[in-house]
Amino acid sequence: MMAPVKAQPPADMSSAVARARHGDEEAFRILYRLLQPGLLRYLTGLVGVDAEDVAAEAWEQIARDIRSFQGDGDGFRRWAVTIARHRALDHLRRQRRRPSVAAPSETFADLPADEDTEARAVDALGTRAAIAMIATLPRDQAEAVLLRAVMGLDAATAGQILGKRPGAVRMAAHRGLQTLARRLLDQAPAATLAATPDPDGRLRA
Amino acid sequence: MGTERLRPPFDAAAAESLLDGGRDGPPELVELLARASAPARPTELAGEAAALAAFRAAQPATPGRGAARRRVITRLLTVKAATIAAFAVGGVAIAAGTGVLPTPGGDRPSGPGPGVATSGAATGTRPAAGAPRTTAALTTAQPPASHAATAAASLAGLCQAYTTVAGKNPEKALENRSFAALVTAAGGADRVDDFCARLTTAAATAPSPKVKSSPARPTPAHPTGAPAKPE
Repeated sequence: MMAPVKAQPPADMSSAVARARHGDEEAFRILYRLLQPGLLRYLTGLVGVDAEDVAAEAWEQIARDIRSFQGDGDGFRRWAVTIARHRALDHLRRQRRRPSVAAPSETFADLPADEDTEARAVDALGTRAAIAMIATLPRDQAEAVLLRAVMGLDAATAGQILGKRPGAVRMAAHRGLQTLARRLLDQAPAATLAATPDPDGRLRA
Repeated sequence: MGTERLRPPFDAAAAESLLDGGRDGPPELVELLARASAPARPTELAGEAAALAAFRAAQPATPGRGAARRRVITRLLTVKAATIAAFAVGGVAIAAGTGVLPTPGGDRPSGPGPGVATSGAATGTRPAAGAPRTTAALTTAQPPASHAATAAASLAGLCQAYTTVAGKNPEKALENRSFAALVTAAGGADRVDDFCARLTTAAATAPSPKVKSSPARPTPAHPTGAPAKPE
């Protein structure tokens, strides 16, 4: 199993951070590619189908502020996730102030029936369904699970992002996994990941 | 049903191990976590061109001008549209990508970095060491005319995909929800052809819009002074 971000040798990321701070666009591209997939999934857990928009906002801010960032690769990852999280929370606040609109959750079914595309769509759906299922957990648990398992952060770093002690993060993640394990057992095996329990992927906080 | 299928709950240490990528636990849960952290896909990087455009725009050397224009482009290029574009281009037109993008660092810590060459990436920039490109996920022939052209390339890619499909089956093409963003951006299905034509022209001739980022949003989330040391 993969932790998309964590296993990257820190030196690579630290050097990319240093270069990007001085305007190196290729270095910024490296950082984007390293962080974006995990960020997007984490944000999907927080804001559902709006994750891409929120991620774009986050990257806009990261691009704007990176010159004043100080720290290494790990620090940058924590900083970037924190920014993304704040953008997501802002988004949720804005959303609460207006009536919610149901958004279409899937477009894959309508894609051309090219075999390759179909295969990839199924894969993507698997990941999306998995994220959506994690997102049905209470928010503190969902965030703990996503930051640990998907962003590849350790409990201490996740705790800094969430404003919690590492022990609280571990407990939330543990509870989340227990709940997920129970729900998975209660589902028919075939339906386990094929169906999205909450297609919108939105958290019930 | 329920109780008799329930396995003994795993303890906190087992949970930690699962969260770190271990596979010792309820298989369904292991599978769920594996899917949640599966390698990155090209569609997940669809916002790259927009992010790089924002990065360029934030560089101090660029004089602040054309902010309104940039906002329009940003709007057009919401990542949502770009995602669909990536999917459309990847699936319909070119499909030369490898399908699955290696996840940075995933379970091959010493492997090369990932890469999709988006059209935006193709404009004369040099791939950095350590980030070899898996080229050809998206390749629209965009002249390196300007930053705007670079940033708009995703939408151009969507146009290109549409053109490819429309040639064979014009009516069906726009019914495909992959092109919903294009129809929206164009202002209607009947205007897509014009829109794409305009976009192509604009991308080729636009002057470089060099802008500052919008100061509209304060940045309360800026956790400055993050300590350099990982804890």
